[in-house]
Amino acid sequence: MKLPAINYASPSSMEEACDLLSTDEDSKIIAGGQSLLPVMAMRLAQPSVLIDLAKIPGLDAIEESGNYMRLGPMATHTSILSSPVISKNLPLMSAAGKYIAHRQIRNRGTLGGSLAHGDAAGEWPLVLLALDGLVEVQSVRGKRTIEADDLFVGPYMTSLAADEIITDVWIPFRPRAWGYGEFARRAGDYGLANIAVVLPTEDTGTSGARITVGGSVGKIQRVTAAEDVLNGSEVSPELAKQAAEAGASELSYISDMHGSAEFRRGLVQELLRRTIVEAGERI
Amino acid sequence: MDNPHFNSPPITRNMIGKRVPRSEDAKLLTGRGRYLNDIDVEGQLHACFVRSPAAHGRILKIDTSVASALPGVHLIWTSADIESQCAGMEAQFSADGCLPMTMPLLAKDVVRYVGEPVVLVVADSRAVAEDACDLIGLDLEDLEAVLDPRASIQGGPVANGERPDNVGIRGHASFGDVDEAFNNAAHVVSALYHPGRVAAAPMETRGCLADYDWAQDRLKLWVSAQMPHYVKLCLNLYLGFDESRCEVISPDTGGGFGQKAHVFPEEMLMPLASKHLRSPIKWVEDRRENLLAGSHAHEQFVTIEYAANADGRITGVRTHALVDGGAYHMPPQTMAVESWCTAAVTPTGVYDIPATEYVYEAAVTNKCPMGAYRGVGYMAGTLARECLMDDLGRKLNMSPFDIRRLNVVPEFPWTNPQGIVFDEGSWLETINVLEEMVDYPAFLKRQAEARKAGKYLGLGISVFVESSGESTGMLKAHGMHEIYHDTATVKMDSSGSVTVTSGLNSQGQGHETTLAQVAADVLGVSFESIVVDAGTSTKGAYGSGTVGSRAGVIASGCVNRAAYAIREKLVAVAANMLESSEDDIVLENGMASVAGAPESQVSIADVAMAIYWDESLWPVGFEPEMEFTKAWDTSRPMFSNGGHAMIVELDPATGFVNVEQVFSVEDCGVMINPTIVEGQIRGGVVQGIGLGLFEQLVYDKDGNLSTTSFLDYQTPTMDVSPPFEIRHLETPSKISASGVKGMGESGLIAAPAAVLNAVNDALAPFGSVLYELPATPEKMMRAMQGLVDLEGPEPWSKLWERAGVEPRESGSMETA
Amino acid sequence: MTSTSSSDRIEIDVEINGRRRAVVVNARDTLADHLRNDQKLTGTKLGCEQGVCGACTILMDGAAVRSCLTLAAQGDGRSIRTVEDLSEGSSLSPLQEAFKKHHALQCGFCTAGFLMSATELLESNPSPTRDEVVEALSGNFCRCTGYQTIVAAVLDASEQIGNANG
Repeated sequence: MKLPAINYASPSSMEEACDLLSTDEDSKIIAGGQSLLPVMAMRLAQPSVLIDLAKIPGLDAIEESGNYMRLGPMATHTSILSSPVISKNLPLMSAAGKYIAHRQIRNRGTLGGSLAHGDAAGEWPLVLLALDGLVEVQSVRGKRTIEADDLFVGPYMTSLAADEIITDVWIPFRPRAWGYGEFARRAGDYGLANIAVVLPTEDTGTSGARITVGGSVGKIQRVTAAEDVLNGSEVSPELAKQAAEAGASELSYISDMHGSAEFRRGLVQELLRRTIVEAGERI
Repeated sequence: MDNPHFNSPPITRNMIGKRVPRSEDAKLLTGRGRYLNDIDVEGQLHACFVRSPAAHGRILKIDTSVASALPGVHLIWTSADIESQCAGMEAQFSADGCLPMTMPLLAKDVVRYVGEPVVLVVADSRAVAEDACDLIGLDLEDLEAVLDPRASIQGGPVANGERPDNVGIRGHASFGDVDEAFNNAAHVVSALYHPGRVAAAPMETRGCLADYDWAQDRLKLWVSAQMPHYVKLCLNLYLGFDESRCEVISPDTGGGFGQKAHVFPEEMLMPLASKHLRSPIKWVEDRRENLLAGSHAHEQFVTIEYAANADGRITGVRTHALVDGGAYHMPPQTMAVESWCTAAVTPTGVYDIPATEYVYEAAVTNKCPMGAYRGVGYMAGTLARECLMDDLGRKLNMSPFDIRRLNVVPEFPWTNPQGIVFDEGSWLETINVLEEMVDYPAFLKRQAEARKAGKYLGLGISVFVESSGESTGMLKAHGMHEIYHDTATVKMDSSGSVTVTSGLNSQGQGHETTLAQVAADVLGVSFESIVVDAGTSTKGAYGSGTVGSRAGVIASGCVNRAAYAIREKLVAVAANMLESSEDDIVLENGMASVAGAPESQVSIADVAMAIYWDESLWPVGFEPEMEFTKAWDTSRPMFSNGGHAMIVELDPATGFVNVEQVFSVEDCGVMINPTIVEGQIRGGVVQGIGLGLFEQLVYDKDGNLSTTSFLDYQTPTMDVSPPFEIRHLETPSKISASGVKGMGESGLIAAPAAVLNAVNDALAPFGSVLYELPATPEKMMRAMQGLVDLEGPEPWSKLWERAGVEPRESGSMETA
Repeated sequence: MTSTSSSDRIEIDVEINGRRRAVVVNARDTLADHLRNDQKLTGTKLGCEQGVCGACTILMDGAAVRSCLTLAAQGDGRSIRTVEDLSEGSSLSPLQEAFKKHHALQCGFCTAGFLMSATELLESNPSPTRDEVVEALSGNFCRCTGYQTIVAAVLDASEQIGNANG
């Protein structure tokens, strides 16, 4: 199980990286490599060139910028988890990040890599979508921003163009109630179900609930039917149950050796209920 | 027959029984262990295989042209290139009804399971070899994949043309008056149990390195194996090498658990390719190959029925064991390791059941061949026996302890219905000690309170008797004609230090330490003065393999005899030096002294020096050998015993089951090193928890294996592994060195039954009983809803008839 | 060093177990491959090459990482520590001693990975709780021990190191 033959480059600026990426359509960005390298080892991906972002300065920032947290794509899961400003401003992120794989993966894996990979079982995509964040991307064609609502389009599919690189991740922080939950049998396993819930509080300034699901449904998405039940009402255990039922019946589920669609639906419904209750308690 | 090599000279215990830290550890803790893939030979090339992507297909064309042209590729072989050198490996076990089958080294004409080796590529590096494999075109015509053993055993589409009826093994036997037991039974309980398909998955995968030296016509083969001497024999049997020109070397080995107790096609191909290319060639499989083709284990369908009288005393047992054998017999174990062993060896367990009959079958299917994994046959048999015991207890409203106490063998020696004699054991005491350890009344109270709070606790127990030290005696007891052959060499130098060479190598069991403890006590010298070479090369002592919980017993028996021969030399010369009778010489703490006159002494080192260099100190007629190779074996079987209890908690919202605590009782006679014994228990039990709750090899409807990584094949991790409380009982063997008994498999033999019994106890409020493992969250959720996926057992009359026995008028077919 | 053009052979400057080395590596080689095959530091094992089992865990700038999921080229400018560097002179470190004392290894194949993960833990958190040990080591698989003796060894080592440091 050895990697296929590749070339490697480690540019010193984002411009150089974009040039390299646009020159060869089979080239690929490597950030932490924690998802990419196993796929290559299994020979399910064979990029011609790996373009390593590690030598580009400034990509691992974690800082407050106005009402946003700005995170660089090369911020590792560990650096996010150990960041005091993250735990202060975005406690949902701290709560969710603990479920990412194992310590050794968290030490190498990055935020940008996780978002660009778009794995439905990943924690960061779920969090970005629930917190209404956005990413800034760059290519030889210029820069643009992509709202989280537009970023995740399917299993392992994002709206990033092949020549684009995530340069910044922006996540607004304001008073919000939140809940996060994941069902995994062993620590670090991909969750059989994972759910992030963000509910408005009196101070939030926006009205809508944002509930996101990934693991069991094969695609990072909002659970709008559950959000609809919650919007405009006071959260109670009974309402959480109703929202969970509405949400769970709206979704379609994957079925594999770890659980059938029917089983996963049950898990998602229970986890929706629990995380909505958890968020409700924080209002 | 009472051969001299059945004798065990008595040992005065000093180091035996002590918790000696392992002498292996410093090397392994500092990265200085040398495992197969850590060994490089100058100029070595690397091998990789194209493996079948289909469960069953006819090979139409293999296109190697592009791969051959890849720089760095040195050899590409298909079946056509090697069939004249080796037609394959035939395997057959001497159990009644085991039919021979031949496993080709590379698939010829037809592929029969996903992962079967089809093309061998040798290249400059493993990476380039993999590149070349990717470039090889394999054109297959699909044949029907035979995947359901319960269907294929009855005929229909054929999985492997060598067995047109899909039967790899079929046999039966009956002992005692089973019909009478079932005709007169007040209660009959029966069930069909299905432990899932698992893999031993040692942390180090399989691998070998062959180096053929044409100038001297010598072959060296490094191999990660549990039976290196058998591998050497196969180099002769299958490839025609003279054994005297072969050395099989066992480096440090990263776990085996039975998987490495086979001889694999890959291990036969490397020597052939090395001879052909005149280059050393290394093959180290990756994890995907290991899960696809390294041998699968333990999956059976076991039907079991008890006849019991009104009190709950079991009067007869019927067992039908059907193994999903895969496409070939895995040489040399064959499919018999599972179903024959389950049916013939395990049904009565520790229970005084006077009549037993059984049928064993192996269905040929288009899956990876079934091989050995810790507790072969014993695991499934213990699962069926112990879980049906709980069913009977539930039916009679008896606690799991009471129903077992009622049925346990009361005294020894005990002869089971097949005529096998059990010399001794602590079978009843095990049950009593387990009950005390779990504090059963307190548990019942806690369980009742938890249920009120919506939490579901379960307690499961499982007691076992284990074949201890697979030996000639054990084989004969079961009607086999084969024997085992094991030796050890002990050599004392002129300065009194000692080298012990055992024929049984270690995969982590600590032979280097335990055999030094034994030799130290036989010779009366210090532990530190002994260096053990535990089977690292076939140039040393001979071994039949580190399998069947035998190494501790058999190797220590051999070491005892060989060291005793030196001891006799030391005693003779010491007696002469001290002018005493040989009968009065005591060897202890490095000194030879006269009993009752401790001031009359000489150091053992001085005695050794005299034997080597000073003829004047010899008694008349003395022969100065200080190096002995001795065999040891047993004429009778011996058995260890024990039990496990487990407390689990079921989360009703998710179906997740967590093991809270394990209680283990082990009686393996005298322990050489209790720390190592406990390590074996914990490791085996956690493997049993894996089988019980997590691990499952899954084939899809086309016969593709879905679980080809450690993400999907889920072995237990630290966060799901429970704490243990372990108690030891000591019922020494009368025939082994110092009374030791083997115990390497006991954890995995009995833990899955304890898991399933605990799970079923947790499910009791839902009125459901589960009969298959692993108890996945989904199965638990369905069970809580009253849904059970596994259908019940087939009627015994049908199974019995299929075994070729005329239907009988008598015999109850009713089920509880 | 950085490069704006790509290559299949990469020059790196890496510190391994306290020694700086300038080497050329294959772009496709993982750090594990490089350590084992080029540096002959075979104490680091490969158990799955898929980033799951943890046998290949090493320290990179003090952080435990999977060397099978790190390219050798990514080692450039980094400091690497492997199991070969843990012992002190010719004696075992307190962590290694604790593994021996508690029988926290059997076959030894997974051991280097456990030691490296535990080293990171004890360097960042000298007095971990039992739960913290389990959390830190759940990404390391062992097939022999059943894990409990490993937990005990790490907790004991933490105490021994604490005592030694007064």
